[in-house]
Amino acid sequence: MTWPPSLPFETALVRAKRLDERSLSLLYARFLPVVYRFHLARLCDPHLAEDLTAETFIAMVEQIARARAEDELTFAAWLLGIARNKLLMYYRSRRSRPAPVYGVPDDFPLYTSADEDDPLAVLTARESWSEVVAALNELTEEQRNVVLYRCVLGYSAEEVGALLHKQAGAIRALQFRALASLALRLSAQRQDSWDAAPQRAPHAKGQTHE
Amino acid sequence: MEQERELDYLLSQLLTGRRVSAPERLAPLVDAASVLTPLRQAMPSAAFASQLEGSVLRRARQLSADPQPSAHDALAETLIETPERRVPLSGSQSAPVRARTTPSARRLLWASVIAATLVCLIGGVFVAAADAEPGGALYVVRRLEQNVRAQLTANAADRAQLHLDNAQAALRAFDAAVAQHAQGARLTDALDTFVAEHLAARMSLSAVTDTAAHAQLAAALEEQRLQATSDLRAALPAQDWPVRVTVTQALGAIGVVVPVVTQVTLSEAPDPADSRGDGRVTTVTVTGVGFQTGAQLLLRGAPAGTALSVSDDTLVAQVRAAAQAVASQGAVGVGNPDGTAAISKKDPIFVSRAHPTPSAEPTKSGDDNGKHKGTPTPTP
Repeated sequence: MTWPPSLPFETALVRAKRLDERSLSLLYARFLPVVYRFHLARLCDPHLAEDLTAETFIAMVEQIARARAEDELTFAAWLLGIARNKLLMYYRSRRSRPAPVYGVPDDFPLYTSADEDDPLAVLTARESWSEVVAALNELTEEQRNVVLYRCVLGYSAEEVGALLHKQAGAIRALQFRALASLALRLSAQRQDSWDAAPQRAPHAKGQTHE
Repeated sequence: MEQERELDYLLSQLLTGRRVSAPERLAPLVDAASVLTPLRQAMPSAAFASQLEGSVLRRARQLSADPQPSAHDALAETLIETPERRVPLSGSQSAPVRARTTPSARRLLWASVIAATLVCLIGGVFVAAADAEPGGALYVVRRLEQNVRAQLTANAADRAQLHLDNAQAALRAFDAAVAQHAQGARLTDALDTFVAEHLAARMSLSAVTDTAAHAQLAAALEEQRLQATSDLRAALPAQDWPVRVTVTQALGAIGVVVPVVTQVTLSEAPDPADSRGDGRVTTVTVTGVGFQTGAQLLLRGAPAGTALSVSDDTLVAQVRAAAQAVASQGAVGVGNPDGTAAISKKDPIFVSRAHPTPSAEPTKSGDDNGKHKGTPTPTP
């Protein structure tokens, strides 16, 4: 999670605050996957995630001049704050409207490259993604943020601590509880799923991960 | 703490794409994390990324040229449908703009709506309470409003007049309740309000410095006292004894001489009429003031026993029961023939108790809370 170009991040940020297009492009390129994955982890629909990503970046451009961020991490915290607000507004608006039916498209890569040759794994991954999102949504806000920042966005415990204004030790404790809770919920969902379709062969999952 | 660090280390391994051999206790947690790791490869489509970048840069150019905040909402709502998704476009390509409420404005709107609703509700309650009668659910609110209004009245004469008016309204409510044979809260609320407001008027009167106003208010106060005395006395015969006690207290509060009980003593003796020898007779001596000829002993809110003698300050009566049984029947009091009544606010004093016969139930120590002396003691 380091700044790739030769231009120092702080310099790019100062220029971006003056709406310099090149610097904005650099920030955009750097944080597009971050924002998109953040939204995708909370929604079942990649297209919807793209919509919210777009709204987040438009808001970023409009508000960047007033941003207090001075380095990459504080800028990430600021940008993810905008993303969280957009997501919150989406959920609020959805409460007053009928929920649209979203689905994961066939070409959406929710499975790892190792599973690509296993049709059952691909099918299972697609079907279970909505369950993962549902399980994530049942976590507390803090737990969810820690899990997303750590496991999806790839920040270290220390970086997550800086993003959420907490000590790294507290982040590790939160992470432990969050993953325990997530494991419990996923396990319960899988059990329900197998109970509902007992004829389906279970997808074996070992203790070794790649 | 150790396992949290271990889990963090395993996650670091997992996130860097290395093989992870998790111990059994942490395996489910690493499993759960691995469910999310495919997301780390997720990317929006190249077409979307390119289109959005264009939109972002166009918006930046637009802001540089015209940094008006009003453009923000227009752009945020300017979305175009593509076969795959909706992508925000710049202002030059904007679709018709529709008005949009910002979150802060929406919060403000909600706060205003809630505040207006609360004001309407509270106002409605006060309006409804303005006509609330004693005993009604909103009468408390009406009393609150009356008290607040009196507190806000700076002039002592005006305040005294306000209290007089309130007292008069309460007296009317009391008379109406009596005429309709109403019982309970309707009667007692009216009575309590009358006494409180009449006394408050008297207190406010003492602060009135204007002689003419003082004389006028004092006359009105006395007139009200006389009317109340007449009304309350007239109401007494139709009431139960507990209500009579309350009415009598109200009469006493506005300066009418009424009976007051200060002490009750109990003296127990064997009942000579009981041939078996375990019967008891208790002589009850009620001390106080304002007892009238023909006054009766009251036990548990009802006349009981036989009055042996009555004077202005003492009533002696006999009850065919053990002293403990008399004491356990609640407050002991006196009822006058004119309907006024009073009860003792203190527990009775045991002056003497008969020695138990062998067949009688032995008295347990502490039954009378230490008041039982066992041997006769002089009455104070």
